Amino acid sequence: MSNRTLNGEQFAQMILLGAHHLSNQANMIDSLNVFPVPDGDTGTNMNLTMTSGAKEVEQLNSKHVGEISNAFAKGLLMGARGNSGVILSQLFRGFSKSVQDKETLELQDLADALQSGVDTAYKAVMKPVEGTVLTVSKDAAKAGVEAVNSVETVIDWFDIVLKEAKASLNRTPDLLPVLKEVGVVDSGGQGLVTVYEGFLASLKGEELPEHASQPSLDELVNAEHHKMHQDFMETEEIEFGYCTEFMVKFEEEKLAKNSFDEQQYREELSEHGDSLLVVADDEVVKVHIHAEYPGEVMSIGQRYGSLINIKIENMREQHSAIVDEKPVNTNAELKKKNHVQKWLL
Amino acid sequence: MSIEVRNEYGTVSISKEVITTIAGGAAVECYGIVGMASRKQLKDGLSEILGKENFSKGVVVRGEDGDIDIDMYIIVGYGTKVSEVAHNVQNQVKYSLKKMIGLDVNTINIYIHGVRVTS
Repeated sequence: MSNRTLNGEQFAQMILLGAHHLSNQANMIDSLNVFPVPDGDTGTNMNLTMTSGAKEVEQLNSKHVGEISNAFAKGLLMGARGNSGVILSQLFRGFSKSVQDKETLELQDLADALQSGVDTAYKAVMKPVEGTVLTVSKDAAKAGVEAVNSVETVIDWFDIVLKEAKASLNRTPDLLPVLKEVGVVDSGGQGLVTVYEGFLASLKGEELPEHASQPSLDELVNAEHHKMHQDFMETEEIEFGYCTEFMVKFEEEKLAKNSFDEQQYREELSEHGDSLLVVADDEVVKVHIHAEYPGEVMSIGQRYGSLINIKIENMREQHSAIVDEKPVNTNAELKKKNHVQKWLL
Repeated sequence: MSIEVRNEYGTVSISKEVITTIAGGAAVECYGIVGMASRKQLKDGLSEILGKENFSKGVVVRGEDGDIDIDMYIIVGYGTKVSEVAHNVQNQVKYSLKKMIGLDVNTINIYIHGVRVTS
């Protein structure tokens, strides 16, 4: 077997690791979900879809690439959930159609199969929206086809595919305005990149980085806020009124008295509000929370060190400003006087 | 019939045509939908000849007194999980109507009118 060939065993391993990696990152992907409906389920849906595909592959126990890929596509189809899940199942339905008679895959076959997946996926939609998982898959496959003759091994080739997928993912906000507005990349695209990361790690025989492509805290905060604005139609409904962000810089003396446990800290804070995000390393812990009493939340933080970069915003004020902007024929007086329009039917 | 929204400054009325167009526009962007099935052949045929984008094709809005029901006649791509595509359409249409005109619909009924096989 040369380095330009992929056998069935390797292929099955790729799928299993891809699914495993996706399920690790599902929560993170959920939090990026703002399009088409910001309901925060992209990661969950893709994970369920992918798990269903991987299960078929496990049960099959074959070494024939065509058979494996067929089983995988079938599992994906049966388990498809959500938009991104349906798209994922189409991508691999096309992939599997292209390789069904092949026991092992040459590099050229792989590239063709990837492209065939994209072609199939684009056929099942009337008006493809660019800046989504479709775009990411298309760009990655294109890079793959172009790279076939310039690389030595399957690993090098997949490296290029993954690199382009990531680059394409970072371009999604330029194509889809809502992503740019919120300040996140596309969640479905992130899901596909995650699967590809699993594939490549499997080919290389590497351990998977647990935080391979963690979005920044800023991205997560943006997505949380976006979801919140969708959730509350009326300002009065906001239960926790202050968006509170701060960092705690750990101090030795205080830690000696109160040892810091991230999980426990998170649980304690969660009683004070929602939209909670906690990220800790050895020196600092960053906190974002929507709370009614920000002072109490910060007091808890002070047990472990000193507070830095504090930012507190009154969300009820902000929200009424946003709600006022919504009606089309709004004017200045209306903005001041009337916070919420009542829709009487 | 149109839907009326009253506030202290006056009335905003939203025609059924608007609801139809928003629902249709949301649906055609949904993954898995390859077409809409015409319910009004004369009107749809005419817009086709005129080359106009016709979002109202295959969408029927029924309703009185704020109880709005929407029927959508769709054609899906072969090889997709049809039940999931239908569910995604419902979800997306509901969200679009809520976001753009603040309308809560009663039901969104999906009729799968065909499956298109593309080689």
